[in-house]
Amino acid sequence: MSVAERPFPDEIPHGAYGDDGRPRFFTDPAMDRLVGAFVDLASESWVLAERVATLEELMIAAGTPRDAIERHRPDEASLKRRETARDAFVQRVLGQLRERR
Amino acid sequence: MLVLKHEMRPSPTADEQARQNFVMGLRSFVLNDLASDMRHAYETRIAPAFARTHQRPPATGSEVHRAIRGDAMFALYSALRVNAQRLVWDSVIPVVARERPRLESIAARASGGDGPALRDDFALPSNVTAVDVHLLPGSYGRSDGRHDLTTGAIYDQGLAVFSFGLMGDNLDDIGSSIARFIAGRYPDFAPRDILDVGCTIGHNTAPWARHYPYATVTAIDVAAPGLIYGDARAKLQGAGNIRFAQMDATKLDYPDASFDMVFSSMFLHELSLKQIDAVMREARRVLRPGGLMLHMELPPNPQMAAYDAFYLDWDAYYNEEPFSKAFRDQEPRKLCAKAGFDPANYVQFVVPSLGFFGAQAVDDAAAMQDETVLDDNTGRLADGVRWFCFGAWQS
Ligand SMILES: C[S@@+](CC[C@H](N)C(=O)[O-])C[C@H]1O[C@@H](n2cnc3c(N)ncnc32)[C@H](O)[C@@H]1O
Repeated sequence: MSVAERPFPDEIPHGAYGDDGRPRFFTDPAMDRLVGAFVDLASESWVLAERVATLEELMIAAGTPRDAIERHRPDEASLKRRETARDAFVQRVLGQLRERR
Repeated sequence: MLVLKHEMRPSPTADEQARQNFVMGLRSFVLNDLASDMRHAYETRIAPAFARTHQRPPATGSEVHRAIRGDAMFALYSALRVNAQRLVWDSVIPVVARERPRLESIAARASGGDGPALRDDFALPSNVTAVDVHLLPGSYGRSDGRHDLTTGAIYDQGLAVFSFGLMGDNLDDIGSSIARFIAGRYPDFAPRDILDVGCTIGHNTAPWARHYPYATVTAIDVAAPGLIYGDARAKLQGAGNIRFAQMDATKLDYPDASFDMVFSSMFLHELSLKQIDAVMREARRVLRPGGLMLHMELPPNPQMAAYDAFYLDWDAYYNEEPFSKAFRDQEPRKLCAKAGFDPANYVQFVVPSLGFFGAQAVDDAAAMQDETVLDDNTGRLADGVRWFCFGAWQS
């Protein structure tokens, strides 16, 4: 919705919103974006933690020893897949730092 | 993790599920732990500093708001809450987008030829279109065609994440607690026709149909996607005696004196004051003598301590609920009187959450005949929540 047409409550404290109409809480606007990125990072870390827990449970149930993870070397195809996934991860986690245009 | 209690429950991937789990944990942390830290900061730093310059503590929510804004704890609480809200929707939208065909075919089968009464020419009011209400992208009415129920599905799944268990495993704690309370407090009240206005997906409508099984229950809303989804949801849960219709609560299509109860929950605070007056007048018009108008809502500022007023006004400023402060600044008793209800017939209740406190607590509250006082857990989504509601009997 465009900021110009959006209704706002009365008694808005000075500096409560940026020019883009989004709330501002810190004196340095970079901080507001950083918190967003930080929350996304925490979220993605938790997603990974759950995935790792699942993998370890499956792996041990299938008879693979826990230390097999340390000994594993990914092949070329896996490295390529990881690179693509890494770029998507960075976009998702650090997207909040970008300027809204 | 909360699993929806009907066939339209989503099948998220492992990562999607983990993302939702995280948001629930984050919201609980922000609304319980950080909220308590912010209150502590207020009591130990902010209020004393204010008192030193003004020779009195902050008197209103707005004074607290201005005084607290520069504080680090306010900034961190707020920034985390805004981001948690963003993630509520982000964590369910991709799931719904992927599963849309499945959801639509289940809904079509459940509703059969007997879906909600929709109107092709219906114009959504600006309180719904001008804001992304509580940051829901595109707001309640977003739709790409006549069968689009996705916003309804997003609301159901999003509410499950948003409430992290506090609205019950069927998201109907508000309706269940209040319906049980009313049935206990007024055992002779036997409504035959019940109207729920601003029902969204009807999750809080269903408990009325359960408590008054012989009644005809009608649920209206302006937004079609929620009605399409809600109609199917109700039928899948066996609540076939609810009729859904697209209608504006400020101008109801029903004749005078056609209902024994007009209910709403979490509805009025999303309307302008002008619309609220119109909703109340319409409720009075369609009620039969001896009927009850009852609105579950956020508690009113004039009955709250300054800090608690500030705490609940936060959403007006930072969660795209722009109308909620003006509503909360009103005295509900006066709103009812203005619509023509006899002030002697005004009622208000604070109802303990059925899910959190259990059935006995609700029954005990219903048995107590005195007016209940608001505390700092009233209307506040955190452990120990109690629901506020007010209304009036029709003479
Ligand atoms: C927060 S939701 C209410 C949710 C639900 N009653 C509950 O108990 O959680 C507000 C609803 O009011 C609807 N609404 C807004 N203005 C309306 C109007 N003038 N008439 C009817 N419904 C309206 C919106 O489409 C939205 O579904």
